[in-house]
Amino acid sequence: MSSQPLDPRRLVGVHAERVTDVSSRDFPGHYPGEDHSWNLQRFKKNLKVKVQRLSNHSIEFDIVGVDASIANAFRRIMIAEVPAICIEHVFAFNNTSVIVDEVLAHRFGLVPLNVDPSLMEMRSPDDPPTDRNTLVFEVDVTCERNPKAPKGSTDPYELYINPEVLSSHITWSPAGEQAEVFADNAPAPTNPNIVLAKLRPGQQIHYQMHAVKGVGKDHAKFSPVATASYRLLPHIKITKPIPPHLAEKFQKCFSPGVIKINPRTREVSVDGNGARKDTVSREVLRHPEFTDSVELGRVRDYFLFNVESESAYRPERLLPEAIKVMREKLAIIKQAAEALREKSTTMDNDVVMTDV
Amino acid sequence: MTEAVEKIKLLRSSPDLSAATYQIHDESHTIGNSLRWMLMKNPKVEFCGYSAPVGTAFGHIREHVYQRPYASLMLSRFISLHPTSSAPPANTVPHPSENVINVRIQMYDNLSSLDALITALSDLDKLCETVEDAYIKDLRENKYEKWEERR
Repeated sequence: MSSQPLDPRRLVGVHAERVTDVSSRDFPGHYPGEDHSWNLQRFKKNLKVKVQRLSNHSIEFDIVGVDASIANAFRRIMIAEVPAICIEHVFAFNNTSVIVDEVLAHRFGLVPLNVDPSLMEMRSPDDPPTDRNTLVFEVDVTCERNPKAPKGSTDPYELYINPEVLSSHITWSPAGEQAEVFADNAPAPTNPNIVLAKLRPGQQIHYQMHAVKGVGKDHAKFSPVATASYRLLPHIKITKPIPPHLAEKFQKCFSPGVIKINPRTREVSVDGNGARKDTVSREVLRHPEFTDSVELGRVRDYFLFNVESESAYRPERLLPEAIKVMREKLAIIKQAAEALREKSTTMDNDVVMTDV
Repeated sequence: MTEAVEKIKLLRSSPDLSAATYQIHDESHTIGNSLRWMLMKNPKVEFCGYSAPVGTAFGHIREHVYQRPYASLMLSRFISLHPTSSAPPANTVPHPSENVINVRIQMYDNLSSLDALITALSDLDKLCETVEDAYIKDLRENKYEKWEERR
């Protein structure tokens, strides 16, 4: 990919002390005699979306042929506007642990839950709780001395029963139609091993908690992603043959797997798709022997996304959810804009009528 | 929460709407920057810029503007230079307590900026649909590396 000649207009230059051609210029009127106006067919032709890697928690995909504003919109929505379910209200019945209620309540709020947000409704501050917008969880843990503890043991797990409050102690109490709706996936924390508090004999924590649907822009706990980021595809162009005795030195200026040395001819080249592994550290530009032998850059419209899910969403579902949110936003704004147009035309008519 | 908040308010405009500033409620750089980009793709748009409150997302960015290379005006503060508006120049950047963005559009040939805005919104929607379709198509092809991540 990076070995093919690339339209130099797509490149952001990365030099020793500066970056060049950062902004996109593909606007009508920028290049005389060229048509850069919006064209869906052309966009469809140039667009390339490719999933590279997928695991149970994260996904890497490329979006090629979009502007940074669009890629950034998707990234921002994944972080801040794709909804998730989190504990929002905590009712303390008893807490004799060393951790105060407000700190512990905050910790409970941050626990990621496995509840699919599409199964719940958003609850406004004035709305009463219903089985469609609120999930009730309970935690009731008491620490006791273990009568069967081995003599001389210092391990709290041998000495005591329940020395730690874990996310697995959070139990769900179904209400109304919830038992049916969540039949195949009972609401619980995604990770059962989060330590929330430590207890010693005689201490108890008894909380009831209400989980609601929310978005990351309201509180970061509602963000469905651990990270959602993109970078631009690095571009490395070797402009002058590298002398064979400097091949290893040249190779070491880049991340492992980026530069390949032909074992027979000692010829130095960029290894296939190796450029995407580079960090663009610019180390190569520090060595005078490599001046003018390499050009570094990034491809302005080639976005390498990396998204880690930390919620009920499978990682591959996050981008479609973000696009769904984006389209809902656009629809609402468009409706309002059309209403405004309606209003302004009728107002014009009113003016005409009074003139007559 | 009051339901009566207008999603779009016309802050100021020329009588024919060929140059106008729209205030969009409860939006940010997400919509602002992508909408600005799509509006700039319209050759009938002479100028487009948006501003979001400082300190909410990127403290260092006040306004995202793009200028046609042959436009002669220096439009660093984009409202105050508009010739037909008689109101005093307003600070175009919303106050941090306001959950809004301001979008400024100026058109060539006295065309309506509101029409351009609506067109840009539907074009953006089609763009989103295209990206989503391409993503789902590629995901279905199943040609990616699968791996197991331990937690």
